[in-house]
Amino acid sequence: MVKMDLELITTLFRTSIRMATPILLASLGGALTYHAGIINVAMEGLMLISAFFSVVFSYLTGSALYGILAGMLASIAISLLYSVFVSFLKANNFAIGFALNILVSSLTLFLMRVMFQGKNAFNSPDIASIVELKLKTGNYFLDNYIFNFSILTYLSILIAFLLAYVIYRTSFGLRLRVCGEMPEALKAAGIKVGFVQLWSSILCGALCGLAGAQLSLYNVRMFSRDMTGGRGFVALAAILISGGKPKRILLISLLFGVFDALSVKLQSEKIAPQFALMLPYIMSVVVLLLFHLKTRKRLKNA
Amino acid sequence: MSVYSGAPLGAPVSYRGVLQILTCKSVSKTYPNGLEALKEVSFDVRRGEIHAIVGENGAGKSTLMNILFGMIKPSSGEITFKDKPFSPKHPSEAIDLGMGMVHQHFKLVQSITVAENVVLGMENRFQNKLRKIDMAEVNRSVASLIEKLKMSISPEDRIEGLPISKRQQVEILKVLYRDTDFVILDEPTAVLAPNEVDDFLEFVMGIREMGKTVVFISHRLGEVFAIADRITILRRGRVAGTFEKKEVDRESVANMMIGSAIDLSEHPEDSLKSDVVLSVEEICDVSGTLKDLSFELHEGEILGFAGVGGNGQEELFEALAGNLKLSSGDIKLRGSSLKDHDTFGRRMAGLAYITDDRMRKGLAPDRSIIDNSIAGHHKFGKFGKVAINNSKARAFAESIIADYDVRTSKNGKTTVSALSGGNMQKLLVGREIAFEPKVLLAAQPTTGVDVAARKLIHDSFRKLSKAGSGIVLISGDLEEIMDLANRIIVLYRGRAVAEMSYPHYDSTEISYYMTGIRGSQDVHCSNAQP
Amino acid sequence: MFTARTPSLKKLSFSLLLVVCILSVWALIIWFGGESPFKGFYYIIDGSLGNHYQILSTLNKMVPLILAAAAVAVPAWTGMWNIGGEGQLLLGAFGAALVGFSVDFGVGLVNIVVALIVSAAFGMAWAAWPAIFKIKLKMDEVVTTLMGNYIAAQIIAYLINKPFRDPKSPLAQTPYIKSSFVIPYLFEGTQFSATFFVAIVIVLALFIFRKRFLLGYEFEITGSNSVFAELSGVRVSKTKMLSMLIGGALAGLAGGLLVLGMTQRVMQSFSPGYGFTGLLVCLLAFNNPLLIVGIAFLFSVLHTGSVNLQLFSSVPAEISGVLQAVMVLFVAAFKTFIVGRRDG
Repeated sequence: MVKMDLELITTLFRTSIRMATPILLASLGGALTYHAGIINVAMEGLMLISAFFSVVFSYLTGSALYGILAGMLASIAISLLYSVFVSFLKANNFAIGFALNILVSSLTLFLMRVMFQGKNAFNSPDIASIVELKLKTGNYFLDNYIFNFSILTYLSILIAFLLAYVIYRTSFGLRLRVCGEMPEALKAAGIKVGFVQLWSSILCGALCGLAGAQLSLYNVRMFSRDMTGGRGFVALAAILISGGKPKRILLISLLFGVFDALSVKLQSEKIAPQFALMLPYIMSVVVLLLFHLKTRKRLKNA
Repeated sequence: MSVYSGAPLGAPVSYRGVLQILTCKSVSKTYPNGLEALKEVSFDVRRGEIHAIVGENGAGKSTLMNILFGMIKPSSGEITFKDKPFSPKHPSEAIDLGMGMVHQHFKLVQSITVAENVVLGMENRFQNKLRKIDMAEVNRSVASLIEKLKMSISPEDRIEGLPISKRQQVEILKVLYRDTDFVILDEPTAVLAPNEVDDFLEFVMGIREMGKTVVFISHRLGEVFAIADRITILRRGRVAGTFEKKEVDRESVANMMIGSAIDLSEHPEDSLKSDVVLSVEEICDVSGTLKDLSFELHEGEILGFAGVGGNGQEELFEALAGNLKLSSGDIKLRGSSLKDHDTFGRRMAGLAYITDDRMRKGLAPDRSIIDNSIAGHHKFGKFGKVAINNSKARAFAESIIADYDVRTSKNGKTTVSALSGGNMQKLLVGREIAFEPKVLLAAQPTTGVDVAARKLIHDSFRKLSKAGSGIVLISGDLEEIMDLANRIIVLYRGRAVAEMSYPHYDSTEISYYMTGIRGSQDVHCSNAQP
Repeated sequence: MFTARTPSLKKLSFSLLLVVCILSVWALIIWFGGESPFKGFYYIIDGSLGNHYQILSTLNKMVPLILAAAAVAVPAWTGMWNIGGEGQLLLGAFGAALVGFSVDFGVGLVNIVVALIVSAAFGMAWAAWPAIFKIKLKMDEVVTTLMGNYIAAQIIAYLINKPFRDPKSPLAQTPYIKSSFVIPYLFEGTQFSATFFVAIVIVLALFIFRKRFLLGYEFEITGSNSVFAELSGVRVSKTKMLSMLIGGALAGLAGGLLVLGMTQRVMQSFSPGYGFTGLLVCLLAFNNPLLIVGIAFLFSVLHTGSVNLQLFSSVPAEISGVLQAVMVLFVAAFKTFIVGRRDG
């Protein structure tokens, strides 16, 4: 009995971590653009295009690494496009973001049909998946809770701490934050606002690229239509709740990962599957709601 | 590595090169919407002088400064700076050549410290191998400059806690921290109280002693004549003339600024009646700024509230307008309480508002003049109940345009953002007065407005008060208040610390109350006699 | 003092350049899909406008787009972003179907009107909660309306799978609506129904509302500067709320019209993304009701035409989404040059 419960918790934990990783990566990327003053609604598209190209290149080269790199490049390309439109051409942020999301959604489907004559999904045993940090120490806790996760998971946690340092202690971070808070001050200081935003976009693209690769080369091992399923917006919610602070993002992403895992678990129970699938989105709204209620209370009591 | 030139205060810097450090030849600027802001502007600035640029708003001063600093590009013309052709595409180029600008609207980042704001742009000189900023070094470096300039701020202060005059010091620090030898000051005294101005002017002269060249933009001729060596007058985008100070006097400069002799000495009308139209009783607002403020406004009276910005002026306006809730006290219009009415309700009861922020609160800049004119009035059924009567709306807008001399190229259909600041303000004033309100609340009604527009607005106030309305005039421009108000109340820290009636006005006295030198110990307010 | 505006010649040449750019990229994409661009364009045009059957079919496809775009436009007039059209449409569709298979008032017209009102109401309700959150709690409506889409999709999936599942069908869908609820196709053999005229009438009504009615005026100044609007006596919160409710109602109505006029029930994959396509249409139309009709027509041509393209060549029909998105991006890029921007 006890062992079964432990198995359950372990599975839940491992699934949570697995689900949390893409959200964490995307949120960290989006946090950079957030500090630079852009509410990034294109993360969905960034992740999706990376998911696609990761699978394609992993399939073609047999190496997950090339897949990841290809995915990142694709993501960075779209991110650059986003940045050019929003930072330099001063187009509307939401408009371009959604246009890009739709572009990527249609484009990946289009490319998949052209390249693979596939239906709505592309699956093949030749797709190489991302390696795990495989280690068998014999200790149950270590083996299941610390080791044997995708290397991107470990990388993402590292990046979270790295970004906390970069954003709040370095010159780049200072300029980034000023860019979002008061771009005129940056301009008057002689720094080009557009380039700061551009760099934040490139880094965001890279991180979302990693997120997409994790989705299609580890969490599952295929590409299917619109497989990001709104995660890009869950990441946005995470960023807004945490105010762009990387350590908080780490916690929130884990929380969302738990919700995701619960939804997978509940699907095999008697509860109708749709409620489980709804959970991450409802939770995003609820968490945002609580956050705003708390802020409102604080303002009232001030 | 020191980023400050290191020369002690007062040491002269040797002159090099030609006498003219800056020359502008036929500089013009036409904005995409067709507005010709500058027309063939030519003038020069000599090394080491204090050169004042005067002119109404809409004259092109801001445009000219923004071009010099690389914020916008000229449509044509040549500029030479330090003997080389100068066409900066970005402020970084101007800064690299030794130019610095203290903006009228501060560009300070609230959430970071004084030192971080000052070194922004050069902070990478303080980085170690890991790109971490050495804040201790930064603070030390900024502190030494603060000391040299005898300022009273600390590098670790956060901007959000500093009063406006200190924020200005931070802006100046930003400029002087770099190897600047050409300093542009854009309307620097706009935020200062009268007795602070003298100190500031001395400070500017001190900068000149350091060997720097100063371009000083202002429309306050008293200051200009106190410190400038030469004066360039801009009028409607053209240079009306450049003169040595000894060649001209205040009146002739004012003359050249607007093209006709103006009367610098105005005085308030006496149309005071005894009936009280607005009664404010010991109000305190929820933000805690206003403290038991009480006063009465009579019919036909213009009541002026003097004070340096940040002492409750904004809160007073918002409280009277209904945007800021009261925690205690009451506001009564002709005896009936306004407390529970919102802004719209108060309009219906007879209030009108001239806000101090025309772009953000007074107007909808990307909509047409007609749309802006009928705003508020549309609630009174003047243009129909459900559907809009377009011809009535247009006629209404056009009558405001005509009565208030709003200069526009396409009448009512022009987008408001295409108008100059002064014309926008006239439109705003015209629209509000058209409500024929019982009480007009006016906050900073002539900021950024040229002399002719200012006179027109003042005259319209007088006309309104003659007709029996009361006007609450909140302004940082003491001269304006003294020109118009029948009574003056000085606001300091949310309290009325002094009250005077015309003709017993003494601007020095008033400035003491404004800066808290007098009157701030009193707890009870209202009717404190000077 | 003011010179002439940007010369129209310059504007015209930029507009032409824009069209050339869009067509070139489209050609490239078609070519990549495996067909010669000229033939590709031909198939698209022929498939959507080739004969009167296809024209009517194209026009009919505009209906959900027009309403979905209007669902974004009206809130945009007050400065609100309604990205929840997809979810509102689904719930509206369900509302209409619910009425359609449950009750019967005897008279066809009454049935249809009631069903449509219910669909608008359901859509309105789904737009209400993000609106309330934004207005009362300052919660960004972009994220909430977006999440709402995914939540609504699951709600509908549940409803058509369990409680309201059609017992007579092996597929997960609602029962068919009763025949008196159906809005019939008008012409034999074509897919064109009166729903088209409903959509046009609604768009015209919106146009007139915006230009000629005081409330429309208040909507616009709220969107332009809400602080100013408040000071001018506009009840900004109420106005924004109303605009969102109208937006939701329009999206719900789109769903209802789809059920009554085309599918007659709600099934899996009911909406191929009408909500988001509607967003694109609205963006290209700059929230202008009349332009929405024109852009919706263009999108419909691309959509219907692409299906034909797939039939006659190796190019998949999904190309239509790519073509549409490319157009939006180019227009956004060129907008700054054609409309002009603030110098700074």
